[in-house]
Amino acid sequence: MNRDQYYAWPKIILYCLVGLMIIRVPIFFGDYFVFVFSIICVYIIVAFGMNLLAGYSGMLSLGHQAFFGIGAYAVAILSTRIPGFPFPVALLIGGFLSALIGYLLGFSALRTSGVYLAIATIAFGMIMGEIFTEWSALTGGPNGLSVVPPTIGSIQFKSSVEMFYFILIITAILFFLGMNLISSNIGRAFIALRESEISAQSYGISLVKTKTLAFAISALYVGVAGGLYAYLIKYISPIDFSLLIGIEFVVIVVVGGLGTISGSIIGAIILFALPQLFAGFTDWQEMVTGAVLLFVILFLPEGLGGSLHRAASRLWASVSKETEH
Amino acid sequence: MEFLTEIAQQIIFGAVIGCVYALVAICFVLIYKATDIINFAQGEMVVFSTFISYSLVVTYHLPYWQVFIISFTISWFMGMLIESTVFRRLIGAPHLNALMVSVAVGMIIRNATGHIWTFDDLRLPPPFSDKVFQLPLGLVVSPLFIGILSVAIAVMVVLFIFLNKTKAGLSIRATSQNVNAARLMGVPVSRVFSISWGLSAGIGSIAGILIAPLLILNVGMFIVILKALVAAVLGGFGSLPGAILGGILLGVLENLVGTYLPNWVKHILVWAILLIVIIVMPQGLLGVRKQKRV
Repeated sequence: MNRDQYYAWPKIILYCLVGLMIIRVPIFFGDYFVFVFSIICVYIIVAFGMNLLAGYSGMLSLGHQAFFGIGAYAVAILSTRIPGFPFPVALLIGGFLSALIGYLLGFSALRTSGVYLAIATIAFGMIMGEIFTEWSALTGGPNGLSVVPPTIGSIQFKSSVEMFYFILIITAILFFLGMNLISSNIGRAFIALRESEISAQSYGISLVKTKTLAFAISALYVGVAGGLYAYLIKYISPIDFSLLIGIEFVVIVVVGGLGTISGSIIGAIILFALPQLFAGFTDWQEMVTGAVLLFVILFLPEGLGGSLHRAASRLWASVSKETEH
Repeated sequence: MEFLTEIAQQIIFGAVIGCVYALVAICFVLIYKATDIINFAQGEMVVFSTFISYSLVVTYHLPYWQVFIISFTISWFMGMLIESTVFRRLIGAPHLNALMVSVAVGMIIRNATGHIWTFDDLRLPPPFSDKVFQLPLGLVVSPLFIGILSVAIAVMVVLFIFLNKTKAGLSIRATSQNVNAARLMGVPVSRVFSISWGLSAGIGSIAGILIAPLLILNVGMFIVILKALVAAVLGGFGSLPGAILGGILLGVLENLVGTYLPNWVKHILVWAILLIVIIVMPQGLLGVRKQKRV
């Protein structure tokens, strides 16, 4: 039996159990926790998009709050201006708009890389932030916009439980598509580019296409997450899309572990679910986030996800050794 | 004629603010040259120092010349402390790790600043009188602006003398050119790193005192300080004269645009300049283009 099959069954069972637990969440927990679980789902999508760029393609962006904002504003504007606007269309419009802008931003990654690219994306994020604030005819300016619950035909997702299932399903779809993308030749091209641009190019991977595509897909994910976020919190303003939010996005993937999807999920849960559980914690959240980030980079360079992965595989190895004897 | 006077007036104002940008840009460049790290915590360090100055001025009623000295000294040691506890571990680490660590340090300092002092807005009283007086040709200036300008220029002059005429300055310049060669020549490289951090933090504290009276002092002020990063990039990262040129240019440009065009153009301009400079001419105005080798 080869190694992959050996791993496959426990994994599938585990996933089913986790899935079952998540689906039963609303029954066990109150409204507030359902809301927290929904937020986690949104951040998992964000983390997926960020990880695609930072973890798999090796390009760090501190401007992704802008895509989050584009998706959120697209949803908010469409749903309030046009009553009964179907939500899948609104989410897709938001996602593809941010993908388009992400594609264009991707061209800056052709001219620079590393820290300079991070600075360029800061600039982009700040510009978009100003647009959100100043274009008040469209975005409501600093006062923000309120968002109508997601609607399709006569169905409307209003209660927090309906909202949770709605977000959960979209998260699952995006997750499935993303996992397939990563193991496809596109995902391998991203990784090859991260390892060495020059050797990737010599294998026939187009720098232009791959880098812009990485930016576009990651912007698409973050944009859709932004749309869901707008539906979930029902009111958005430019503060929700400031530089600090973009930094938080990066922190999630770095703490979770670059290039591991499970890491992104762990990062999203640790940084955004735990704070919700402690009342009065928000004052200190920034310091704790900073301290966790500092600790992880200095002592666990693979991130929490990477370290857990290694610990788990070590455990697995010792267990399988036992059974061989 | 009146129009020309107004433009000249705005250029003067811009240049004054630009000098403060230049000071902070120098902080970025000093650390970058010595340790190859772009310190995203610089803004927070400046804000922290400015809050210290606020306490000295408002709570302890010290005269401003003492405030400058005490704040500079405290910030110097703060900078050295941050270097020796955190950033020394990152020598040779990938650039993005160093970047994220500086972001983390920034978050910690920002939150600590809020908890030690306040998350609310404060006003730092200006170190010099802000009563305007007339100059020939219809220009007006205030002692505050002259004071900011002269302190900023004095700091730059002292820094240049320090870098070019003293042994410590020589070792900083040697380290920034080639760390390994400097180490082989007997330069105490790790001391150079901590001096660079101390110097950056200290200069940042002066810049903070100078700019805070023109703004509102709160933990969010770091965003304004971050504009100095634009100045540093515009001048060409790693070039001190470039940082000064970039800072003044940015201040003047921002002020002129803010006067004659709607406000949103001014807000977007700074970041648009940053984006364009990085994409079109990453070496900046006075920087040297780095060639990448396989």
